[in-house]
Amino acid sequence: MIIKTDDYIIDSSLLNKIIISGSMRLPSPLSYDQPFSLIKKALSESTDILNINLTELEYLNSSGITSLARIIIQARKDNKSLKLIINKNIPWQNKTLSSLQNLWEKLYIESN
Amino acid sequence: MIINHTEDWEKCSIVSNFFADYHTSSLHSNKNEIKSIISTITNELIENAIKHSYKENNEINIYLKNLPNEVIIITENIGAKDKVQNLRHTINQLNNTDLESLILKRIKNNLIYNQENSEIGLLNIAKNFTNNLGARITPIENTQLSNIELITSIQYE
Repeated sequence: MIIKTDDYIIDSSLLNKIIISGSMRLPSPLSYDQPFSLIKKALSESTDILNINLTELEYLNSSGITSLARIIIQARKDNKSLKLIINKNIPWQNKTLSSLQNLWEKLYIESN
Repeated sequence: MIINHTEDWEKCSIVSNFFADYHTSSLHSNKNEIKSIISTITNELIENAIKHSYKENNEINIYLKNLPNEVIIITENIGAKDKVQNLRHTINQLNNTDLESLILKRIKNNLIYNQENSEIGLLNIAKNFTNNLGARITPIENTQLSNIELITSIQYE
């Protein structure tokens, strides 16, 4: 499934893989529930590590980071492994996402 | 600038990207990195100002000051007593040596108590982008309101 807006695209059409691109600056963590439902569904259906590719995601505000953290906490509850593929040239990704590893030991971060 | 919280939210990002483009237009090195940082910080400050405003349609002021190898960003809004108390608490915690643990604790608490407004954006700015983040909170006489200014400086090579 693909969610496409003027600002961002979330693509979950491949098994064990999510691609988020564009810019996500929604007003609150609650407003991420609908678009991030694709990630939750992919997580529940994953048969291996769920790869979340953020390399083309230019911006994600703190509400989005909070929502992403909630998914990581859900993955821990379900004992599911996750990998965030990040772009080291995008400052917020490089600086912010590594701390989320403290939420779940089976969260891996790959930088390209 | 007046932003309606529910209808005009995307203006936060538009203004942030404009500030970033404006400041970096004449830079020759690290342009994309600095642009991204300015946009990220400005957006969090504007979002914070809106969320701390006492009315949905309250006006906020945003200032960009260009200096050599430095940019200063200021947001100004009027907040009610409860929001001001929360903000004051967060600002007092900025000197906490372990901001990372503090951020993760707030993320977990948000989930447990279903909170929407946790100022994680401000903590993220202080932890990841600049040591220079401060607030000036000035009570408005004969009201329960305060004028809130958030000031940050980003320096670069």
